[in-house]
Amino acid sequence: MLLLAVVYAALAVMTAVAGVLGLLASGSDLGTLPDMGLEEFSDPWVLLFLNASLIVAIPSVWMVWVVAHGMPRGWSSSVLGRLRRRLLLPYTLLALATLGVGIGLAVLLTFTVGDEEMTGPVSSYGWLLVVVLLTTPLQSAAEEYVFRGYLSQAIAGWIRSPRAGALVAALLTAALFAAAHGPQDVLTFLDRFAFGLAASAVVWLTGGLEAAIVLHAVNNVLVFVLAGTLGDGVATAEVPAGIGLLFAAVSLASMAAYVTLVARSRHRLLPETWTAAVDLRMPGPVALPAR
Amino acid sequence: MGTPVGAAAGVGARAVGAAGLGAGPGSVGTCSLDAASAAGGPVGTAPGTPPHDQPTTFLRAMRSRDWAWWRPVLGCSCSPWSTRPSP
Repeated sequence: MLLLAVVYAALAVMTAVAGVLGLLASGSDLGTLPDMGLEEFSDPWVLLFLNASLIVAIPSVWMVWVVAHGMPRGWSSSVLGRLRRRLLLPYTLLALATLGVGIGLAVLLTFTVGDEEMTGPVSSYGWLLVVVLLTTPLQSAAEEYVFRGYLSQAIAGWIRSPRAGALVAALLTAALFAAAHGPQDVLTFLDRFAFGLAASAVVWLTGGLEAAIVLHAVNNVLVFVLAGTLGDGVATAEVPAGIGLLFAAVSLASMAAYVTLVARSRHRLLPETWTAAVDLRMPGPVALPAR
Repeated sequence: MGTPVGAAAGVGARAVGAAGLGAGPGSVGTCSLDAASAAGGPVGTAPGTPPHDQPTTFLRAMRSRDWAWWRPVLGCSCSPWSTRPSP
């Protein structure tokens, strides 16, 4: 874990420096750079910067897996030792049918019951769409590789009982996942904590990160696209004030629906949930029964 | 390396060689697989192979690897998991 933190921090700093150098090389005046505050998610530059610094977590996790654990990087993805791409589209449809509806409803509540107003498409809307569609799914995958991939396995591996290990890993990584999003109010923390639990649940149900990556990517892409389309009234950083409980209830219900649909789809999609076993015995003389 | 056993079949070959080949209580700094290797018996799997001698879940994939942080500390190159005797 320490190696992962060091490698990731080094790559993130390198990404940030490369980003600033790139801006300087392109002739940008540092004084005109956008505010890099994490609240400015509708600014394509800020989002690109943030996403790039998070995406480098993927090679960081893979590097630690290979160097420190002597395992191919694919074991961070699923029980097959690779990312199962066949599952991505079906889970995306399930996520759109549940989380998509939930996010749409929450945004509707924000503008009807809440006191937010639509401010229209943000400036640089086109660039924002490009950045969101190209980098946000990778940013979501990176967070899943760290929290539901590496950390969950590292924590569960210390606990003898598989069920207890899965439970402790889910609780701890959900808390870390929520805390990693920075200062926030209690309701926002609990919403992210629940998101972490839902992601851990689908990982446990499906034997890999695909369903969790899809859950995360669909959530983030929809939120950022809606925020870019409708304006800053769409909450990207925290549960909106005023309709907090209602917003959180819709969010929880949509996450629970996704987990339920993923669980029910197992008989149809047949996601592998066990690794293949390898015969570790050395080849040698085989005792055949006497005839 | 032996033949991969499909998880779907539910067949998991256990690592053998630990029972009867394990290092004694007094063998500080050596492991059962080291001793087994010296005796021409079973050895640990090479890095990079998936040594899940039994089908295991995603969350236990790291645990079932024959890797442990204390191996280099103790100067020991074997795995506590793959040397576990079969019940």
